[in-house]
Amino acid sequence: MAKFMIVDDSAVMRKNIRSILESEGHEVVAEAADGREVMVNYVSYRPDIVTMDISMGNMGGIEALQLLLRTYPTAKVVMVSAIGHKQQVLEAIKLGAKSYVVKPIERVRFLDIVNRVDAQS
Amino acid sequence: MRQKEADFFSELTISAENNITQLGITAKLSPQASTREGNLDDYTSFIQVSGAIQGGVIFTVEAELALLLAQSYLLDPVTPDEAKTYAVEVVAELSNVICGNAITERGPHPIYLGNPLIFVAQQAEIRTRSAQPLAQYYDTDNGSFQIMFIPMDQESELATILNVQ
Repeated sequence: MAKFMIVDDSAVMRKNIRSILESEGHEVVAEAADGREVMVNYVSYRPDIVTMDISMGNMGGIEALQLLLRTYPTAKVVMVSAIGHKQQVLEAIKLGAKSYVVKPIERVRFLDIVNRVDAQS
Repeated sequence: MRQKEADFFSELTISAENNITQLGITAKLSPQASTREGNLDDYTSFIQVSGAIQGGVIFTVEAELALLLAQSYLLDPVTPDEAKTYAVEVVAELSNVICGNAITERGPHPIYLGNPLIFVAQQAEIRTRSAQPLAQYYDTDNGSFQIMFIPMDQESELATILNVQ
């Protein structure tokens, strides 16, 4: 089972993602409500996987991803996005995100993706 | 009204219907549309649209429906009181997903979406100088909702929202 950090400015989304992950026995070690909290929480909790919303208020997912991977290039990040943010998702994958999940989140699909990312070396 | 704006609005309505239906709520086109023009419901989300299309999307929901949306959107069971605390966030998140999923491959690119701006007000009205704001009204068994797109005709003003109560 993996340790996760959930990054999303929506408390509803954080609650839903936590529910899905914990139902599968994963551990959510930290949450962040915007990109600026990512670095502090990553250093403190060292999650195996970060789920990162693309569209956030103060610091967006792309910027936070860049910042995180610059310091921790092996960090595993799964982007979370609506379909319409395809360009940003492609940019995130180019920058080093491991995968992406489309909203609204569907439990089985989400778990399949994060479990596959967890299995990557 | 340019075709690309009409097409975007069409995608918005499809996305709204799909996302509401996915939550197990049946939405029907409202026969009361003409009497509701310009009136906002209790929970309203505004998202600015820029890029190939300029304007604003408004998703506005009656209070009872907002509570049901919150209960349906949250994966864990919640009490009505808990649902009330999440209703604003769920309307914001849902508007975000509706807009995001309305941007399709066949539509104009790029389209950028701002973050949702939410307000809660009873009997508010929206007034706009836009020549042709687009609106679609829906009824459900638990209240109504609307999806609107206001094309930006003037840089200086998109719309004015008035709280009349």
